[in-house]
Amino acid sequence: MNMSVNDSRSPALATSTAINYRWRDARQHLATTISRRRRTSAMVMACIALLALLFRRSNYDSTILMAVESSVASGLIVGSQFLLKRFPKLDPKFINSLCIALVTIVPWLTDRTARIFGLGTAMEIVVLSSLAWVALATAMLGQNLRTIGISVICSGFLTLFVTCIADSRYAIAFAYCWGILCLWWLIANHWEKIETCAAVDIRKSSQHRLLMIFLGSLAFAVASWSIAGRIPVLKRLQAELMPTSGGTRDNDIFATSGVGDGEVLVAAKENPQSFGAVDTDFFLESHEPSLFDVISEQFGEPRTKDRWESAQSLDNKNLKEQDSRVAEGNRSSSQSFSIDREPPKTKKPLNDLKSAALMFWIGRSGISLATERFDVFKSNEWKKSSDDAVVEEERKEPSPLVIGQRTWFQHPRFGRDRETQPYVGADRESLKFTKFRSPTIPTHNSLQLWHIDKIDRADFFDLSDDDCLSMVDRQFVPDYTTLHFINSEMDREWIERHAITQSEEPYDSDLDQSIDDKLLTMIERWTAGKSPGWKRITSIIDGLRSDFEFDRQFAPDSKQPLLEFLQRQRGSDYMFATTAAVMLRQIGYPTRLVTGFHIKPDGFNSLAAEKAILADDAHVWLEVQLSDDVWIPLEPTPGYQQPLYRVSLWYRMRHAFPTLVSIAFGCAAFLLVIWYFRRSIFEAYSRLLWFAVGWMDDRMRIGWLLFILDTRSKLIDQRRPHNVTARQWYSGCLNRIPTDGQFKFSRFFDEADQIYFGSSKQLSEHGQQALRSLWIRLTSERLERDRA
Amino acid sequence: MLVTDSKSTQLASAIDVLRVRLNHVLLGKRDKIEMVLACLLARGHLLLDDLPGLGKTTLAKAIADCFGAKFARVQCTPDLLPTDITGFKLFNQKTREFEFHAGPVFADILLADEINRTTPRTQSALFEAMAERQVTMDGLSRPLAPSFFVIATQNPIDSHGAYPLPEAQLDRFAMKLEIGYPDHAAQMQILASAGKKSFATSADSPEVLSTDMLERLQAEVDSIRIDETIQRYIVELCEATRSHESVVLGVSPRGMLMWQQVAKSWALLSGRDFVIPDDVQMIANPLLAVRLVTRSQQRVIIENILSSVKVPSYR
Repeated sequence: MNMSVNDSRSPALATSTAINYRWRDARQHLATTISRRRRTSAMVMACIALLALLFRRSNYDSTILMAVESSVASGLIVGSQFLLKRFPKLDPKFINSLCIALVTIVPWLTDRTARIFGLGTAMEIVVLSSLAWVALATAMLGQNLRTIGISVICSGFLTLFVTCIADSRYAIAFAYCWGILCLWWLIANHWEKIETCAAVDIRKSSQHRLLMIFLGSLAFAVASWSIAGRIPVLKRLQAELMPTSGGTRDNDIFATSGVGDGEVLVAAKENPQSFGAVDTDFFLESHEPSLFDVISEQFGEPRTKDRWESAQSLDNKNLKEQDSRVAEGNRSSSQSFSIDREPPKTKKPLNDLKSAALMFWIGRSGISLATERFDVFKSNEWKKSSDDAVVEEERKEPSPLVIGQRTWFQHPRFGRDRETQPYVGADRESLKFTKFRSPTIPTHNSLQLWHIDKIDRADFFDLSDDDCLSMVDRQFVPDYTTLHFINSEMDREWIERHAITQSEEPYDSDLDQSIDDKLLTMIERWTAGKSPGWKRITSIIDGLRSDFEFDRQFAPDSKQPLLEFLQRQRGSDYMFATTAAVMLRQIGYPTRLVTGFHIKPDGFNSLAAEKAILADDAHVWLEVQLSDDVWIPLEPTPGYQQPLYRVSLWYRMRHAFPTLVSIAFGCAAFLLVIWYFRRSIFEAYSRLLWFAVGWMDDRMRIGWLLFILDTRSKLIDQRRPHNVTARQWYSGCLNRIPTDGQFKFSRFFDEADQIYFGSSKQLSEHGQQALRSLWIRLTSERLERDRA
Repeated sequence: MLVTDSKSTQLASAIDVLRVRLNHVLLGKRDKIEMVLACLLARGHLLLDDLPGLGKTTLAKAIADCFGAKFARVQCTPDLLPTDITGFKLFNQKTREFEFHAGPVFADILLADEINRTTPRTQSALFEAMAERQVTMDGLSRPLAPSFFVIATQNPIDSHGAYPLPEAQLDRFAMKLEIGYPDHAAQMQILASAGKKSFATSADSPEVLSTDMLERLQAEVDSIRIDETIQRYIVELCEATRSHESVVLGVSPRGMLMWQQVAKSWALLSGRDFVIPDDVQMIANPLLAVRLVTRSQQRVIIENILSSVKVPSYR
């Protein structure tokens, strides 16, 4: 025990310091009064900002939303104060900071939640709201004058900004109120500062201050009157200037007062027969491309064939003179789809086109809608088998089905036995035509029913053998026609069960030997070790997706595009689809090529489940036949989402089990490594921390040192009991240090005590050195050795 | 600042002198002497619970000698009357008036030997003097010395005919100490120094300190700074004594105030002008020993209570 009295730490003597205490008390009292006054005025200013914002929002936003947001945020503030009162042990600084942080995110959370219920507001308003609550919370809970200053800045910005974007001219009253209060705040602050400089003579001078406020307000009013109407910018600020949404591609359906398509889409939602774009004339203006144009524009035009080539690609009996040249009609997608094409022409950006959408889609994203299917591949060209048949088939009319008061048309697969097909569930999806000038109706592979309002005649539609739906005797589906579909999902387990081919023989293969060899090599490489069936199919698809590169601009140069694609491993999506189709035929699966549109998940408004289908979305993929009339879509092109399948929970778990086990093992191994090297890791961390605490004051650094030492003790299983002081616990380790070192550390603990429980603020130079030594040298290893 | 410094040096050297002299008297009991000093400077009273012949009287006399203070000793017996302690009025035939004859309680330092042998009536007279620091007789209050300090002893064995001190009265003492036997070396030293005059006990020893100095030291204790975290620690400890299942009677607010005061005095003795948690812990045992009424072994319970409360740390 150190019994000597240190002169430098002399006891404070009441007699000699009594006057000082009284003086300090007086100053402290004054400071408290000033701080309270500042806080109150900052709070009032923040309230004005909040009211101004609510006034602006009242015209647009839901009252419930605003009420919920306000009650949650104010509840948090009140709750935190209640908590502090109820549990005085809690650190007020921490609780208040936490409360401010939570209040900041309240508008965001409220907005996100409200969106689920179809309410919500634009992002800009949420940001402003967040700022308003931060201003109020910092004014009420701020720990020092600087935070209160921040609150004033926030509320000032907010009030002025909201006044600028307000609809009503009366909103200017908020700005005036805030301005006057701010004037009061500034005057009061500086007045107090001047007055406290001459503390011997403090008099109440409220009258002077009021006079100053009055003069300031007068100057304010005169200045505003003098510039009113003279500055053009200010005139514009009278009404709303801020576009709340638009100008960006991100369409926010809650942005109800902006420019651009956000508002238009919202307006369209109010019409039950309409979604997406409204029936306004600005969609009629543009000269939109037809389906054929879309395909040719995206994939390039087919190369012209010389007469001899054309003759080779056709059966002799069908050879006609006109086949030797590429007629306009022959280029049309409804006849054939050539994979020997010109590179697509570079498109000029469209000028001033309001919307380039061909259709609008409401439904799932990541799926594909087919327009045409080709099942015969000969001489680099996909054709429909029905093209070869000279006899024209009888047209099939779909059978109608009345549900409610609406007439739906059935696909033949509708209502069939669950065992014979993979289709499960029913999703209602819709398509609205805006500029899609084609009689074909893009449909999903699992189409069950479709319906157009007020149409009950089945002879409007033609459902071809290859599952393609079109409108009969029409040049194109009329614009603004809305089609409603009932689509299903595909059961993956069914697909896997039925994906076994009857024969391993190549199906309808008519390829060059060189291509054939190349394909077989690749197939062998990709399917090595895979059991026949679905795994083989997916391994080929996955092989293409991973080894080949998608490049729509890349067109084959040679006469053998397929071979070139295989060699250069790069090409457009039709090359991917063709290669996949040919490869699957090689292992015995019938396949067909499908053209249509892909609903890309990007740019998909997930909340409204809505997507504008543009010409860019045109896509080619393939389908594989698993049973008589069940064709399963496959997606070999990288960058496009694979078809969606429905899988049961049990299936998921069964398949995820190995992954989960490996993840669990990985995590366990990782944690084990961390556990094993925990001491070294913590030592490295504490070293790094030493550099980070350089800016802190001595009190905080001592706190951190204790944390470091305590953690080191924990790591060596010698946790400091909570009733033992740091000095008592660590003096055991210091016993082994040479006497001068011991003295140094004992002196350090004296100084630390003085900082924490006495009146000192700083460590001496020796104390600093001791702190560094303890931090760096008293490692867990040393602690363990010394405490042993 | 110079004034303050010289003053503090003066006080520190006074403490050192006190410490050295008492350690000469009571050999090998350095830690007990620190406790006695803490109790003295905190204006508390001390109860020594020990066997005879361990130097209780010597210690009390030595303290008195150090300050040149008036020392009185009362041997408490069952027939001792309150007036034997407080004093009494006697009719003076010459002056034809009643004259007050001050009792031993008017000394600066009073040793009440075997206090549990006297009747509760006499005990309570003493306790009033201890608590109020005054004696009231015939409606007239007579203040005691400002540095009035009582060392009471009680004999733990031979409890026949004893009047155990009631709990409420025990609270008036700041702490209870057991001096215990000196260790081997100290006993050798006692034998060696037998017959030689110790300067601390001899009547002609130089009086270096005064009762004024004692009062100044006691005033200094009041100005020791105590942080709010430490006050909270004391409160939590007191609450823990009240809620402990084996404690029948916990620490009263008066005891809590005494704890703070003794902690401050311990800080002064350690050369600090502020209290640290170690101070509170160091004095906990003797301080709680006099206050806690427990169902089982008191020392274990006190340890238990101390370990249940989190000590304020550098956080």
